Amino acid sequence: MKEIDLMPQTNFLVTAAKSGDVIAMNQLVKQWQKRIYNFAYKYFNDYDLAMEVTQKTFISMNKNLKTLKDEDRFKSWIYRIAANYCHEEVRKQQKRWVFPFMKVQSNQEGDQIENSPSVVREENPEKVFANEELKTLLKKALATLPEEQRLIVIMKEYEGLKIREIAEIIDISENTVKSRLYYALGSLKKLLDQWNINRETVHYEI
Amino acid sequence: MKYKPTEETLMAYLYGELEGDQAGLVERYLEENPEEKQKLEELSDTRLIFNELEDEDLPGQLAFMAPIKNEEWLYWRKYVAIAATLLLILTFGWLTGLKANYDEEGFYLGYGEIQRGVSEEQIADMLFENNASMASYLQENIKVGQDSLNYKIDAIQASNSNEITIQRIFERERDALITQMVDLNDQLSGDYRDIMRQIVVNFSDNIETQRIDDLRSIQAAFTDLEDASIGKQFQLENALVDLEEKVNAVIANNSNNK
Repeated sequence: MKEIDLMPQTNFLVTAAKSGDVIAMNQLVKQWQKRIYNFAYKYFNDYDLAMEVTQKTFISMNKNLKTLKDEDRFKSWIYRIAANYCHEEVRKQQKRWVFPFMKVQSNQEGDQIENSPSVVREENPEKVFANEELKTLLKKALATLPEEQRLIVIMKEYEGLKIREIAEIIDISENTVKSRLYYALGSLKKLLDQWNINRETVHYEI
Repeated sequence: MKYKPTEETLMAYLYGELEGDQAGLVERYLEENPEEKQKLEELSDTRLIFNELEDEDLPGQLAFMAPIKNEEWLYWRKYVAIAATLLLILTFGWLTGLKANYDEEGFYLGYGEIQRGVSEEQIADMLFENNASMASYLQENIKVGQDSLNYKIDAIQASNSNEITIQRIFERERDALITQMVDLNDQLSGDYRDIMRQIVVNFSDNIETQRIDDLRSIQAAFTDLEDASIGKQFQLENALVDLEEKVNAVIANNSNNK
């Protein structure tokens, strides 16, 4: 499991930002923007939507931070805002009726494959390509999960939130969180089996 | 009774969030049930594989505002709008014969042939003249107004100081007016008397004359009647004489015949 930085300064920054300290507010944004962006990006697998949710989350934070009573709950609070905006965006996308020919094909996958080798030039190109391909597949696999399962998997696997915290953010019981995690992991495993991706092949490829 | 953890408990175990001695119970259960252990290990492997997905870097700085869609079009839109406006003006100018010219005397704009208007100096002169005439007119008016005011003020002052004089003049004027009215009345009375007398005299004269005339005419009529009666008497006398003669003649004849 990936552990994110503990961000020991967060509480101090939240207290300062609540009292109107603009610099503290900016620091708070700097500290959390990458987390919120990645949370939204894994949720949508879309840069623009992820950026939009991130913007909205921090605008809301800027506006409503004063209403946060307990600084210790900042993490749950900010993820709850982000999750709400993600959900809102999904609803908007569902409402929006688009002609099939107007749908712009995302060229992000292609970009990734084109751009990445320049960063790791010395590595084996085949290996790099395999790695990028794996990431693309993993993103696709995540996207197949139902919205409520995907949200919990991202929070647990990538944001390192505790089951108790997730339950608090989404306002459901801890058992429901665990149950959804169980079914989500089962679905993901099935997909990986279908694509013949397992621990051995991944480590061989990587 | 044999212990069998729920799916939820297994998940909590998988994520290391089981409290107390529950973890030990689950471990024991898994040792006793290799199939279950295998299943859980597969799920753990799945997690490991998904952890290959790393964080992405932010594509840009947060602007704290909603991103504008179609930014490229918004950027070019103003230039397109300016171009369209210019084209519209040109078309309009071409259709209406609008002409614009610029030389050392200035910028000219007009429909059809451009006619030079008055120059700046001319306008300045016109303005100056107009101002001068306006000023003189105003001065005159002010002067007249001042004179009139002065005269009125003098009159008011005079009337204030010579109240007694005015009273005298007033009394004198009043007496003169009364005298005039009396004279007029007298004159009017005399005239009326004369006229009435004259009328009466004339009337009586007329009556007298008419009476005399009437009497004369009556007299004349009587004279005529008298003359006529005398004439008729003569005629009757002559006729009688004739008749007598005739009768005598007849008698004489008769006597002769006998």
